[in-house]
Amino acid sequence: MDVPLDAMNAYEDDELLALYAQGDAGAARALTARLGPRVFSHAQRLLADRAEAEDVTQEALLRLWRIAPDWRRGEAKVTTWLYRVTANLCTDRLRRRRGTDLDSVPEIADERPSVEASMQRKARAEALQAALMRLPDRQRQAVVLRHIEGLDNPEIARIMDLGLRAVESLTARGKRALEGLLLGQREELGLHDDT
Amino acid sequence: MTHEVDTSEDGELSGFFDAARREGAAPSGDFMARLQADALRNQPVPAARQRGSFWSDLLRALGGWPTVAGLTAAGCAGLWIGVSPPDMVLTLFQDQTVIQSVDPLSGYDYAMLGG
Repeated sequence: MDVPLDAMNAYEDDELLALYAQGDAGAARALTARLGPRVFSHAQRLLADRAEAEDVTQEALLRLWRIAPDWRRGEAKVTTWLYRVTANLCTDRLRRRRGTDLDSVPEIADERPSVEASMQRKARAEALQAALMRLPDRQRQAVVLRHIEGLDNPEIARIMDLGLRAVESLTARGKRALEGLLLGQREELGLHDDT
Repeated sequence: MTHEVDTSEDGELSGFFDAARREGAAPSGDFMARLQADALRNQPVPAARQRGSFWSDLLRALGGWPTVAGLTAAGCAGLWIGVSPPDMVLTLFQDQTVIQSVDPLSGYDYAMLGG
């Protein structure tokens, strides 16, 4: 019997994955709704390309569905595994993209009608994204995981297969590089008086 | 599923990180529908419950083969005794064709008549 969708919110990711493996269609929907946007947004931040981020998200989730019957609960967090797969897929694409002029990095799609209040925020987010794309891949990944996804260093270390000190060093260097790229734009992005 | 983000280390970039967190790229509805279709298409099929036939259901309801064997033996024995009763059975019941009648009011009648 399928668990009602509302009740799914109380389940951990790995519990839902176990239900998914047993053929529970509600778990399939709940997991997609929960993890799809998260993977997509992470891929979008690493790639800055909507179409590629969609491809990566689709592939990462496909791998999750395939591994679901063999998933061992309690050994790893589903999100840690997914972030790692997503990052690897993004790295493959970035390698293939090497040589592309950084100025041709696509702008973040602006699809929602923007009001004046949100325009500054969008501009800041776009400036950050452009600056992130100028960082080395691993620095970008570490900074995104730490400062945007909000993960703690031990989890980032597991995702990136690194030691804690290496993670701290990557995020620190990434942040310094971002400061060099962005702090000069603070005033024009309205950050001098409302932050 | 949301989680609290520790912003204490954002430093001077906090305005940028905050904007990025709030402006996270959202997947389109079409794309989410595609993801969901993938999830359902790749979902393992649960082992279907074996649907028994009428006879196997009946067998299970009666209590399995031992019960059915016992019932069959008892039925055959009854039929055999009815069609071709053994001598012992005939001897046993031959002289016992006694008609018994019960008159529950007889004592009462006598008592009334005897006044």
